[in-house]
Amino acid sequence: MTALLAAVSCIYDFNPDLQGRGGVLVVEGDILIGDFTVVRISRSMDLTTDVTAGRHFEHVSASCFVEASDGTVYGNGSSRIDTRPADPSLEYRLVVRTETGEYVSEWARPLRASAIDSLSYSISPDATTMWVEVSAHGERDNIYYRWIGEETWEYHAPFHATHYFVPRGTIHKGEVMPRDTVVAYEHGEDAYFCWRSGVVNSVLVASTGDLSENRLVRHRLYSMDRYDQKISYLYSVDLTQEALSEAAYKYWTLLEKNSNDVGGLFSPEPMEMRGNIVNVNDPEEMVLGYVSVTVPARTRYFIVSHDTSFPRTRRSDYDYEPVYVLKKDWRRYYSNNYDVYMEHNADDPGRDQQANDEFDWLPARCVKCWLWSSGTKNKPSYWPNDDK
Amino acid sequence: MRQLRILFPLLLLLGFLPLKAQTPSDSLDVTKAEVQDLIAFLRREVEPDIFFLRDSSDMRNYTVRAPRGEFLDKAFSALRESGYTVTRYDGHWFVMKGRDLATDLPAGYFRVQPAADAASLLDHLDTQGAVMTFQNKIYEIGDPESGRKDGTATLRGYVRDVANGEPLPGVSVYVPGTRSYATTDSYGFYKMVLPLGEMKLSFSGYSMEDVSLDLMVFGDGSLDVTMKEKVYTLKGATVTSESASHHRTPQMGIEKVRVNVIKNVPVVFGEADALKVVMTLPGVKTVGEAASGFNVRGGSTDQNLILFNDGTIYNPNHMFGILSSFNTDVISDVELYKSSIPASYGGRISSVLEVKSREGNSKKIQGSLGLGLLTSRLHLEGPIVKDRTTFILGGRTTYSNWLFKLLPENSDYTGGKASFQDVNLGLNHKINANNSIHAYGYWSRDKFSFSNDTTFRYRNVNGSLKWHSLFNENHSMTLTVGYDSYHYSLEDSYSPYTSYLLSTAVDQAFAKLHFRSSVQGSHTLDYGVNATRYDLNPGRLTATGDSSTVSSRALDRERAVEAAVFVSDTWRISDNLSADLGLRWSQFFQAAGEKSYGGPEFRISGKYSFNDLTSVKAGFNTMRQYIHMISNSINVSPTDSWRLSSDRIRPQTGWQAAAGFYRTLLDNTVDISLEAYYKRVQHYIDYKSGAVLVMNPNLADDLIETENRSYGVELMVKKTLGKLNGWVSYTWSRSQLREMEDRGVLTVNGGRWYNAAYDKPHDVKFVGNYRFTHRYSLSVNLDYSTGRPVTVPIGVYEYGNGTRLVYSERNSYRIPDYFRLDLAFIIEPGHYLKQLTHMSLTFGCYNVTGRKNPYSIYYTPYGNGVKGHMLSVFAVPVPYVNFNLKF
Repeated sequence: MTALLAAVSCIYDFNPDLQGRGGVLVVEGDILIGDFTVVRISRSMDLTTDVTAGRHFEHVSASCFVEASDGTVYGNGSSRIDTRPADPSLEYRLVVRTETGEYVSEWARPLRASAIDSLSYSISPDATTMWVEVSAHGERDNIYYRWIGEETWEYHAPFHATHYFVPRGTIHKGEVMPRDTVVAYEHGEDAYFCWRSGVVNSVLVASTGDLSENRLVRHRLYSMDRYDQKISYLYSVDLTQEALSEAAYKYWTLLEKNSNDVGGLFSPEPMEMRGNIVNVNDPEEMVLGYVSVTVPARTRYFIVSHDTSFPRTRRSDYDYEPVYVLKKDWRRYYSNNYDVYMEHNADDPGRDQQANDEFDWLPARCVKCWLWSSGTKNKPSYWPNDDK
Repeated sequence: MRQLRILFPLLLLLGFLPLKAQTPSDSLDVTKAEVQDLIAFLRREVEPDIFFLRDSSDMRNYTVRAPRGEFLDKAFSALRESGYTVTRYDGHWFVMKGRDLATDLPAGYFRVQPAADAASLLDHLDTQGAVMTFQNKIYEIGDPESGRKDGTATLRGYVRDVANGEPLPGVSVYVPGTRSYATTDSYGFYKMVLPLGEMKLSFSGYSMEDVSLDLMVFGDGSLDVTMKEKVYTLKGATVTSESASHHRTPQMGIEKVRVNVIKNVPVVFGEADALKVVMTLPGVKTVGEAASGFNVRGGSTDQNLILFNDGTIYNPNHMFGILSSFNTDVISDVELYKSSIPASYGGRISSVLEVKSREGNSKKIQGSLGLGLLTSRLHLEGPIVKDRTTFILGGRTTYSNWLFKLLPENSDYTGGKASFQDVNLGLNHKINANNSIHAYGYWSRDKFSFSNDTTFRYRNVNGSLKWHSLFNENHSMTLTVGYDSYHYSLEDSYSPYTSYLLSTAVDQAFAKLHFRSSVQGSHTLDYGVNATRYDLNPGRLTATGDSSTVSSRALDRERAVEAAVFVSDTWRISDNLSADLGLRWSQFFQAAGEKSYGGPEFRISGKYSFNDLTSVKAGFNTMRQYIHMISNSINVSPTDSWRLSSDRIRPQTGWQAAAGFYRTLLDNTVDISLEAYYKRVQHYIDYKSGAVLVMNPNLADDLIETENRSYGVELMVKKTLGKLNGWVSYTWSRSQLREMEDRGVLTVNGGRWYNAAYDKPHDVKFVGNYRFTHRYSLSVNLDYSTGRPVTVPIGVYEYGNGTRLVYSERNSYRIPDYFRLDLAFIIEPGHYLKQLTHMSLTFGCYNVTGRKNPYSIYYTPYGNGVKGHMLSVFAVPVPYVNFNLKF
């Protein structure tokens, strides 16, 4: 019977011709008392028929300041404002000047974020998903939480190469290479270890309003799939915890619903968003964004994948056989995006016994981590291991 | 004692018989004779006093050989073998199909005096509608010795189904060519005024064979009639009740659908469904497929009063809308009042949907078993005390989680599991000719989970007791008391630290006292009182598990009484003109709050008939509603809850004005109706952006009030009889909302009118059934409508580390139009009554054309941009088979 009703796949791509509404000012940047406030001003874009195409959001040139209720103005107009010395007992607002006018956020007294007690992780019973969790507690009045997660993780190239190829004529360690050469990596020159970073791109908010005290116990923030590169080796998140007002919490909740909970049979209808930013000269103008004022709490957390009981090996990514390349073929392989893996096994009877520098090669992306994924060799200073 | 005497010049036609008694003289032989020839032979040779009712489907040939002394027995056993019953009563033999002859008629049941003579029995047989005709029989009503020559008399009586003794509601009783008519009520009772003298009285009911009796009226009297279900291949039947019924009542906008029609309409997965058929009527819209709520003439889903045997059903759905709560095995019909709402009903703005269950068979125990793709069903009915007390019991259960695996991701059903059970019980007891008691019970339970850690449950419990009493022929009373309960819960065990159980409930006790009396023949007065006591749990949160840190708490219960008095007069001003003038005063008393709400509600309609076939009507209604559904999705969703009006939540009020034109064509087989309406509703609830609807003690802060304006024209052509029957309708209508308060830039759509989510201007519906023979038929259901309004993204921006959407003004865009065609092929049992069981089979296909009808369009972030998607609930043809066994 089930076969009779063969799988019904009922979601289709659908891109109707909609009237666009571009050019709405977007102001993002919570005022972080005791930290740097980073402001980002952009404009919305039309939703044209070609909505799937990648595009870049227009960044608007603007002068940004943070104004305190005692008249103090922080910042010199740039988007990064030093609000470290700001007094938490005053009220603050964000002031943004653009070509279209002056925009201000509503005056607000900083809300002090609760302390982050700990970060932890848990793994789903079916061992497919890892949850990153936060535990926190605070005073009864600051019950609305928001988090911003900046992630960094170390990952490895599939193969740990011992040598690499330097073509003739390139400058290598200050010298012009006279001939095609295979050079051994020195200590600290490895192409195996890379670091990559990003931000957690879900809206992370919570309320303890339904709980008996203002305490979050292992609150699930976000998840990672078992094959996620982030947890392939060593993962780190720098978590900023903010305290929100009720209005700000509603704003973020609605933003999240409007983005993620749409189109289902029981989904709420998308609703218009109104933040707390107005154009001083034209209060009717629609401005997107909500500026909170908070004294944030911050912590960094590491997850060593080796320590987790997460079965996540997936050999298929590494399913490459090294190729034994004779010296005469080096250049040809190199130009085909191959690079050296290691010395060829000396016991191989097929080996050219005359030569002493025969190597196995692999596609370059398998041995150079920055080609494997878009990470870099820039190891963060706080990284807690010796990988280089 | 008024009495009915029956003159019965019985004509026993002895045919010209091809059969002869064979020698030797002590042995008789009949070879390959048809049944009527066999009977004729018996009458001639053996036993003259045989009354015989021929079953027209009996095509058997009979061969009987026996000595003369045993021949009668042999012949009778041959007839018994093919399903006839042979009974001896009062010196006569009766041979007929289907049932034992009730040789002790209950006194008063047929209200024929003298009660048990042969003539009355023959009359009983006559009304079973077999071969003998009613011609040449004259029923005398009243006392012939009274000497009255002119004036009028009142005739009353009950109309029942011959097969099971159930009362037949909605049967027209009329004298053709005059304007003397009546319609039976839900107890099968009718009462009418007739001129003295000789006349023909016709009884016609939907799918019942017409009965026409010759009357001689001398004075007041009573006449009970049994009617037989129509065999469709009969020729010549022309008049039916529901055609022409438009011309008989001043009320407008009433749609009635009987269960046999419901069972023929193809629906998804083949589970016959009363609500889905209601959705095929003009003026009824939904937001899309699998939508459980329906919108009547621009009203919202919570503005429909759904009554099941007088009990209010707060959630009429199973599996969140794939099926409705009403088991078609036990219901008799559904009636939708979308314009003229009788004064006896109140409490909702838009409509009353009345679902009635059948009475059990009063003659014998029978039942049915059904197997569908989603449910299995069992029902039993029969007498407890024959002809006096009957029961009907029905139950359904599901076994189908497989369905949810087929539904699309993001449809909110993914990974879901669902199950439900429901049980209906009806008991009817006739105390005496004028008093009857009816008890009804309904219980249903639903369980649904979206994922392993979230489980929804809800249940309906309804119980009611009804006493119907006829004081005298001009005055009757119905007293109903009952209790309705709807409980809903959501259990979340996503994290052990925040696991909880959230529950809401509506409990209500009600009493309805309704009198009906006739005054001076031309007025029918309905008056009475209603009271409902509400006790709502608007939200209770309970921590579950040991480590949960959820603070258990509950919102204050909401308690109130809604009371109403009503009176209405159905007034026949003249033969052409009649009116229905109703007034209801409802009052709402809160237990806790300060304010009491209330006011008059007017229910006025009038009709002018140009002739028997053409009428015009107009009506005006006002309504009040004190209970509201709190929901932020357009569909009726699992998290909806009910709240009462309070100091800060005002009652909804509304009015509707309507006018209509009705015309009956083609020998009374086709009805055309054209109705137009304009409707306004005030204080309809909508929500502020970011409103918190669950466990919110200050809910009123998050609500906004809107007003609604709706208007439209509905054209319907309905054919109730013939091989092809069904209806086709076209509706043009609009429904718009506007926020009532000015909240500056926050005002929804700047305070301008915007389209309601179910505003679908053009709507064409066709429901048809074509019978090839009385066993095979084909049903078609076609639905076209304008796409519904939605709010769509019109811009995209980056915020909070993600791509976000700027939405348009509310409901400013429409999804593509909707079109769907469903087909079903129905095989009904043959009419071989000797068989113990009857099997019927339905094969069907939902969405035959496989059109990908959108339910919603939405966008998700995709790379640096967004991507549009369309969700289609049933995007491929969905075939089904449904099996039913009657026993």
